[in-house]
Amino acid sequence: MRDVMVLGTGMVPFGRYAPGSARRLAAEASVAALSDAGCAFADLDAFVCGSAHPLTPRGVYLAKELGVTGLAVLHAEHASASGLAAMHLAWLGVGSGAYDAVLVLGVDCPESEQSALEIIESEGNLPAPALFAMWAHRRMHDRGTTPRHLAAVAAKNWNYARDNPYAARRAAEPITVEKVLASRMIAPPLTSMMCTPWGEGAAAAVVCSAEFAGRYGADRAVRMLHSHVESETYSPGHVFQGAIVGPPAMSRRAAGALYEATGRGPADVDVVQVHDAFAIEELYYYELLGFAADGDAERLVEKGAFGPGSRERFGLPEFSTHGGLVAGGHPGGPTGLAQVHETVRQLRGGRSVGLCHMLGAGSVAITQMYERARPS
Amino acid sequence: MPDRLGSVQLTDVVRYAGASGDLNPLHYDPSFARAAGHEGLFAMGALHGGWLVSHVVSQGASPPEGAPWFLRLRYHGIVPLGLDLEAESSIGPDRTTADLTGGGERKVSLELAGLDAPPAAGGGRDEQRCTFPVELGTSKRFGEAVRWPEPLAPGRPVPPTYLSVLSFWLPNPDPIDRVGFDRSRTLLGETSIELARGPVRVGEVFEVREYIGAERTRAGRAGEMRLVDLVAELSDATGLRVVYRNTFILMPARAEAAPLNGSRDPETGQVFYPARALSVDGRMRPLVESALATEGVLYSWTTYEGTAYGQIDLDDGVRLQVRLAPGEHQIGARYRMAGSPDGDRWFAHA
Repeated sequence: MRDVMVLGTGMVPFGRYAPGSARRLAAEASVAALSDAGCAFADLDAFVCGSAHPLTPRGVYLAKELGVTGLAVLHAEHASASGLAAMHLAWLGVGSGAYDAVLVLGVDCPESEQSALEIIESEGNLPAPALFAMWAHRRMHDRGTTPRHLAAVAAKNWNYARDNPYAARRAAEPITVEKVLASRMIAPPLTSMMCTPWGEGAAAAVVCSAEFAGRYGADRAVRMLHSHVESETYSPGHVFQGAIVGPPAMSRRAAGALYEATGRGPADVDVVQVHDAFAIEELYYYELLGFAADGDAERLVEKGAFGPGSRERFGLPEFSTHGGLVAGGHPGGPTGLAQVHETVRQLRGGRSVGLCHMLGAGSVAITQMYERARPS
Repeated sequence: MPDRLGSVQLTDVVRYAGASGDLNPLHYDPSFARAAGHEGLFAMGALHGGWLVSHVVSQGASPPEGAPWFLRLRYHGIVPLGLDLEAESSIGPDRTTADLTGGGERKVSLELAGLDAPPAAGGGRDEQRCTFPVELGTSKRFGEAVRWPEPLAPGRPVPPTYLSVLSFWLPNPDPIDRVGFDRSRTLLGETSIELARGPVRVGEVFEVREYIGAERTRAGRAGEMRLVDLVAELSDATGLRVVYRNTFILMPARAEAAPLNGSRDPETGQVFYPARALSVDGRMRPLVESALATEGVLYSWTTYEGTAYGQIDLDDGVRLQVRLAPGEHQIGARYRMAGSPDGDRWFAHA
């Protein structure tokens, strides 16, 4: 594999958009990413669209809005992981030498009103909040986790979102643990402020070769070190029936594969973006991605780890620095691209290594590592 | 030749429910009927039973005026709405019998004849009393509901089964509540009316003593049935005039919902749900169909929008995500499948 770079990113704020807005959102995010990269749609040789909602317009229609140039158009669908799946295809395409520059677009905004939750349930699954609440309830039973621990994780992400102009939920005042606990109960122990608001949006990135980046502005580029797609491995007690949460070991393996392929370990990672659609998830991912021993996450949260200053104070990365899915929003396809957008922002701001993690339908975990490009 | 009586429609059920006070939702609420294991709605027995009484009266059957007599209706099977009904009757000077049939099955049999001795008072538990005026308006409404062929006016006989409107005057009007049976499994088995002389007439006023008779059991096709009589004794200045007896049957508890079907790997013995065709190790061994265990241990649970959900580690190793019975639950406790014949399933504390 040759080196793969992310040259530019762009997005629109996540939130509620009316049905029929997808073309506009897709174009805005794409143009933002292309201007950030300093190139034009005509310079690309591939376009990969990631979207999860079946009523979002086809990627190829969205590509046409940007230009009709004959480039390769691909589509990636992997539920919540659609955005990182699209990045994975671009990484394979550029790394293999098949393509030089790829626009990756994550977009979800259905052409008519139908919520992601309705789709999940129409596929015969129990409601997603109930499934994650059960994961939380079991951890409380096994590890003595309290709702305060969950609220502390959520409050941290709400407060990160206050500084992110693209976040769906931007609180006017700092958010306290008490406020999160006092919000409406959705599925015990999860309150509404511990659950993603879903929403719509678009986000994009230009993925390219080092040569291409050199032509357009290598100083802005970050390296996409590796991308790993892990699906489930059977073990006793495996849930086939509407997974959604998925086996925890899947995230652990996806992170392990990333560390092995890159030669970087958890200690090298500065910032992490995870699939924190429900606050219990991030708590688990501290352990599953290798940043805490099993059962140690609560103690670290109590000390204030994984928030602002965590790297300096504890040698542990900051998590969900754009507000995560809980406060940043979770449109589906764009969610992974918003993680990439945030990772690029962090690396351009001086951080060295960023990690992204998304789950798709509890059946796939995708992990990616990005590194600040060193002048060569 | 049998006479055609038509079929019971939902309108008839509504009319009879209003006229008689029998508001059991089993007869007009489709989801209630389904949850109780019935494929659709069916009539209250006293509705088409009343039609049969009216039919024999219209054919000339009449009770003796000055001597004791009785009318008995026996209910043999439920009458689904829309089923065409036929009556075959044999009317004699001393005794009338009739059968109501539908779909080739006998649904109700009727007997009207003289009694050797006047009815006698009895006794039971949970006695309640009321004064029962035989009102013109109420009896007219009831007459319409059972197709009573005679005009109703002061002094005229009311339909014999009119006594079911006693519920309008009794302190606790709900017979099924009185006998303490599960509404969804309770059917009316038999109605008998014994009279000291002549019919009950519009304008008469009775003192009523109602009580619950001794419970008994009977073996049925689907298991043991419980039977209990609700008896009302109507007296006036001349003494005991009428003994009105309804026998309620509590049908055996419905069958458990069928177990869920999964697949078993013949080589490893592992069980999977939902059912799958091939082994999980990618070696492509065909799996065989296997019924899942119906008990297990609660792994976790929550509630969402008023419904309780749980994950149950079944005894065969499957972790099932399923609805739980309402209420509080306990991780680590044993749970067992419950359900209804329409396929709805949930788990409850074992």
